[in-house]
Amino acid sequence: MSDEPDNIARLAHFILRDLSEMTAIKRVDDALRVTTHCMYPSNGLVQVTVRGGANTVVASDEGGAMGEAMAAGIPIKDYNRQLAHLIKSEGVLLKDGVIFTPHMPIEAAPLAILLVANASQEIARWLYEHTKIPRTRDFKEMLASFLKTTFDERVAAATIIGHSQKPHKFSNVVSLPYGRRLIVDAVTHEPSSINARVVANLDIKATNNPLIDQRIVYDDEDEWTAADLNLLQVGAQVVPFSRSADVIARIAHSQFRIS
Amino acid sequence: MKYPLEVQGELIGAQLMVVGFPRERVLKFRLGILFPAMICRLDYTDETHANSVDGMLAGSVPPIVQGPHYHAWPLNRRFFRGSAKPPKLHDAVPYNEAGRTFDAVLRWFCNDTNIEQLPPSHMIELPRSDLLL
Repeated sequence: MSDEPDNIARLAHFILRDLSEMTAIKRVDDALRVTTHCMYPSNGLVQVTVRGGANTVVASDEGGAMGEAMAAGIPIKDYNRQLAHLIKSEGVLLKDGVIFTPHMPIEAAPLAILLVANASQEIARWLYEHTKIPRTRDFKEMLASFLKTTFDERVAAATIIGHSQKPHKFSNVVSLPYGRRLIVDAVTHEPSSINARVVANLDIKATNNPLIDQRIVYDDEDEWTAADLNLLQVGAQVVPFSRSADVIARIAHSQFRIS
Repeated sequence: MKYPLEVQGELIGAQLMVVGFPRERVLKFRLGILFPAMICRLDYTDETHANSVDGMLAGSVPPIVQGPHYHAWPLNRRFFRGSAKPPKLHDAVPYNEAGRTFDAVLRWFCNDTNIEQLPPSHMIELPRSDLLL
């Protein structure tokens, strides 16, 4: 019984010490970065950056809530309109994904930190609860990303004139040695996409330009009918997306050898 | 930046994600694997992360990690429910490896996640603040 006050005192000391260590205040260039006790959905502690002059301060999460969402794989877009109502009542502001206070008296710095930390936490929670991770892959983006990684600056969007003299836009045209070009055209499983890509490729093919090679890439996770694939084949040689890495690398390599 | 990952010769949607913080004066970045949500992540940051009670009681993670830490897939797979909701990588261990450059950390991460070793000439790099407008 007599030990009880000592235990409580020891516990208080322990908690005070460790909580203080957790919520460090760190100088970062012209600002202070404060780690708060607020937690994002994945348990990271919210950090608030405070910048100030002689009399006023501005606190900001520096985009922390958006960063938390992005780090979970949530697609980032302009959520400002949807999120404004969550923070309006507290008087904090949201612009370009950054939550911040207006200029506040320096004495109100702790309040500014609390308001921004809680708003940042609340917005991150909203993003977790109101967004979905897209289940379907964006294979056009993935193809573009693969080509960019493989060919770097040698891949770019280009407009090429067809046999009919109509200009056709292609998102991925790879420049190969000796003026050769490889068109890698992604098509989605929709009639409009199929028709547009077949026509564009057919018109280019009709020019019989020996410096241009063409491939149409389709997403083979979708269910394609033989008729659709045959139609694509009319425009250019067809490559399933799952094999595109091999096929495109082989084409590029063979172009190098021939040249 | 997102880099597509081939799995057994196929592009099936997995991506390596690199997040940079070009305005930071000190080295700060995240590396993760999206499939399609983030399934594991290394935060090379000055952030503080609180772990789950379950993980702590099981002895697999400390209560709190400060500084660079790693949300490994084996530590977090129990939080995945197969829904379209964004997953929460609740548990992390400190990153205590010797490598402290971006390239060294990237190579360690790739090795730990079975991403085939990067060639010496790989072009994955963080944007530098002096390259920005």
